[in-house]
Amino acid sequence: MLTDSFLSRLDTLCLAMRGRAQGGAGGSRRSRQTGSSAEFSDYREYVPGDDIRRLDWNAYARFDKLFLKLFMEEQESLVTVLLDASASMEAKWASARSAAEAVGYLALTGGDRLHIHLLKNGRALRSPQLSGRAAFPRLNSFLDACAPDGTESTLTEAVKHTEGLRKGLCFLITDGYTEDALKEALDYLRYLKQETAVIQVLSGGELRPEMSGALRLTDSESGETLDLMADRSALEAYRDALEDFLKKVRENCSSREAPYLLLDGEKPFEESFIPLLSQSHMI
Amino acid sequence: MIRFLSPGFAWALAVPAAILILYLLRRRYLPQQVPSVFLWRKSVKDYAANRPFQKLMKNLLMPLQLLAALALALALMRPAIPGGTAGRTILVFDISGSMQTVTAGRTRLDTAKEEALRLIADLPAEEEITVLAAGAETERLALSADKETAEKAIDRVKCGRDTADMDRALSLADAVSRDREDNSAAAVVVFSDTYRPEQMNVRGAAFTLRIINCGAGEENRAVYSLEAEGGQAYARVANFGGACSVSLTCEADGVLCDARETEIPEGGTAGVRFAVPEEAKRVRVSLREADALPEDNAAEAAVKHTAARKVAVTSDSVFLESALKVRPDLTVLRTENEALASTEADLYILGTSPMILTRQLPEEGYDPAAAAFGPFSWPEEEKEVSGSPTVAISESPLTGGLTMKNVLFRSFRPLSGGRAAVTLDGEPLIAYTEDAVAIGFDLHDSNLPLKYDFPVLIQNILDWLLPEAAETAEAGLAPMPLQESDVRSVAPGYEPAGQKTESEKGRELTGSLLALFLLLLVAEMGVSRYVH
Repeated sequence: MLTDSFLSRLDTLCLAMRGRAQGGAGGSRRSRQTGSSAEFSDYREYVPGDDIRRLDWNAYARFDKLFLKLFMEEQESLVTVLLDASASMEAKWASARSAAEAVGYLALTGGDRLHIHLLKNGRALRSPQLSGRAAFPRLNSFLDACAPDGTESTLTEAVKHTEGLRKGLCFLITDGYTEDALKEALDYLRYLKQETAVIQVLSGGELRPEMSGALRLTDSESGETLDLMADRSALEAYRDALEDFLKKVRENCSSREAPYLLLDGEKPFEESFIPLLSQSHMI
Repeated sequence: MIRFLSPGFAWALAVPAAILILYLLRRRYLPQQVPSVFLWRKSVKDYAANRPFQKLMKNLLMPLQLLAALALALALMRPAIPGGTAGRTILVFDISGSMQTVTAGRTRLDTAKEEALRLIADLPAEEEITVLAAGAETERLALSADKETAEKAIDRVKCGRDTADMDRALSLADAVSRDREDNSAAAVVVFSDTYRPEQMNVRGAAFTLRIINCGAGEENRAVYSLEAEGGQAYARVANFGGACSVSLTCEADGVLCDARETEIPEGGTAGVRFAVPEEAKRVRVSLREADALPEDNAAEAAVKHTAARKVAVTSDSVFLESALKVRPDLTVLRTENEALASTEADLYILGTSPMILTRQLPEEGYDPAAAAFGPFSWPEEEKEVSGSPTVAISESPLTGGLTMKNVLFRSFRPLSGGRAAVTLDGEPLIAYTEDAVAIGFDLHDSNLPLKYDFPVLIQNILDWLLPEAAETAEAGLAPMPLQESDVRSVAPGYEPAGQKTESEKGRELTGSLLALFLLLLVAEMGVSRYVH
C-alpha cells in the first residue's frame, strides 16, 4: 500500500498521452472532438442550428460575418495496466504491485477509466472498470487479492487473452524474461492501438547477484535446473548477459515508441518511482 | 620388472585417491531457487562460446592433477629397473658384536642382510659379487660369485663378539678389486653400524666405497669385565644410556650363588662383587634386564686358584714388606743370612745395597760380603749422587707403569751384568736376568719407597720372577669389548656423489618421474589459470 504522502505527490501529476483521447465524455484529456471545454480549438462559419451562444461577436463586428468559436472537447481515456503475475515475479511483487497501484491512482485521479489485467498462467484476469478517485479502494482490493504464481507461460499468450482493450494507454508491468515474448506482446498491443509503456521490474538479486560455489539453480516457474559454478567469471558472464538483455528490451521498446523504465526492486519504491516516470516521459 | 627402492612411501599413492574424492565432493551442488534461469543459461552459453576450450580444459584439469600426484608418489617410492652394465660388487659385512643390537625385533645384521639382498636383486645378472665378513679376522664367504651364490653366502653371515677390523677387510676388498685385467673399478659396499668413510685407511684404493648404515642407536648395559678368585667374583658393568638400576646374578658352575643390584649413572660404570664357593671352577654373571644388545649382558670367567708362595727376606724394610703383601698369594718369611740355606722359599730377597731378588740361591751359598751375585757385580764403594742426576727408564718387563719422577738417591752402586731396566746418569741402577733382579741402591738412601712408583716396581718384579699361576680353566663367554657395547650412536649412511657404479646409472626412474611431475604441475597451473 502506498502512503498518503506519496499519493499526495501523485495528485500533482498526470499520465502523459501522445494521442487524442477516444473515450467517453467527461474526461480531462483532449480529444479529436470539439466540445465545451475552456480550451479554444478553431473557428468556423455559422450554420443554422448552431448554438448562438458560441458566436464570436467581435469577429462579426470586424468582418460582418458570423463565426462560431469552436472549443476542444475533453474526453476521458482508457488506461489499462497489464500486471505480470507469473511465478518469476514473486521476488519483486511488492514493487510491481506498487507500480500498478501508482499508475492506477494516476489514472483515476486524471479522470481516466482504468482496467487492471492480471497476466497469469497464459490468461488475463480483468478487474472491474474503475473510474474516479473513489474507485481507488477497489483498485487496492483487487491488487490485494492478487498473488504471483503459476506455471511457465509466455507473456504474449496472456496479453492476447486480454479483453475489452480499446485505444488508450497501456502499462505493461513485467520482468520481461523471454525477450521475444515482450516484443510480440508490444506488437500486439500496438495493433490494438494501445500507447504502451513498459515498466520492467527486476529484483536486486537479479540485477546484482551475489552467490558463490557450486549451485543448482531452479527456475521458479518452470522448475528447470541449471548447475553452475558461481565463481567470479561466471558472475561476470551473467552481468554481461543481463546488460545485453536490458539493452535489447530497451531497443524493442524504443523501436515501438513505448516508453520504458527499469524498476529496481531493491530500492525504496516511493523515492525512485516518480523520477523514473518523469525520465521516461510517462507523466 | 620395476622395483621400488623406497616402498615405504607407498602411502603417497593415497594422494591421487584423495584428489578424486575431492572432485566427487565438489560435484555436490547447493540448491538455490531463482526467479528465472533464463539469464543464467544465456550467460553460461555465452561463457562457453567465448572460451571454446573451457569444457575441454575443465575435463583436463582432473587427469592432470591425478597424473601429477601419481608421478610424485611414484618418484618418492624410487622405482628402478634392474639392468645396466655388469661389473663387480664387493659386499663387506661388519660382524662385530654391536651388529647384534636389536631394534624393533631385528638385529642390525638382519637389516644389513636385507639391504644386501635388495642391492643384489637390482644388480645386472652377470654381476660378479664378492662377500666378505669383517670381524677380528676377515672371512671370505663368496668370491666373484653369481647372484645365487652370493645370496647363499649372505645367509651364512654371522656375528661375533669382537670388534671388526675393517681396514683388513677393505684391504682384502682392494686386492679383489684389482684382480681383474680390465682394471675397471669395483664397488665396495660396507654394511656397518659404526664405520665412517673417514676411517678408511686403505691407500690408493681402487674401488668406490659406499656405506650402508644398519640400525638405529639404542641404549645398552653390558658386563664388560669379570674376574673370580679366592671365593669371590668381581664384575664391572657399563651403562651406555640413562641412569638406571640393574640386577645381576652370579652362577658358579651353573648354580645360582649370588645376586646383586646396583645403581649406574648415565654413561658410567659400576663394580659389583659376588661371593662364590671356594671350589667353583667357573662363574657366570648376567644382567637380568633385557636391552638392545643381549650378547653383552653376560660374561663368564674361570675362577683363579692360586698356590701360596713364600718369599724369604733378609733385610728389614717395612716398605718392602708392605709392597710384597699386595700379592695375596705371597707369604713373607723373615730370615737371617745364615739360615737361608735351610729356608725354603719361592723367592729370596737378599741384602740391602744392592738388593738381590732371586728365585734360586747359589749352590755355594749366599755371601753378603761378595761384590757379585750370579751375573751381577758392583763396586765395593757406594757412589755418591750429587746435583740432579738423570734417571732413564728402559723398556722392560720391570718398568711398565713406572715414571721415576722426583725420585732422589743419596748413593748407589752401578751394576754390571744382566739387562739394565733403570739407569742413573747412564749407569745401571736396576738390572735383571731371567731369574734375578738387582736393585743397586739401599731403599733407605732414596725416597723411592715413599713414591707410588715403589709398589709398581715391586709388583713388576714379582710378576717377572713369580708370575701368578692360576689354574687354567676352559675359556667361556668372554666379556664383549667395551667399544662394541656402546651402541648408542650409529654412523650415517654414505654414498659418494657421482660415484654410482655403472650398473646403477640410469636405472632409477626417480629423476624422470620428478621431471614429469614438474611438467604436469606447470600444465595444471596453466589449465587452472585458463579455466578460472
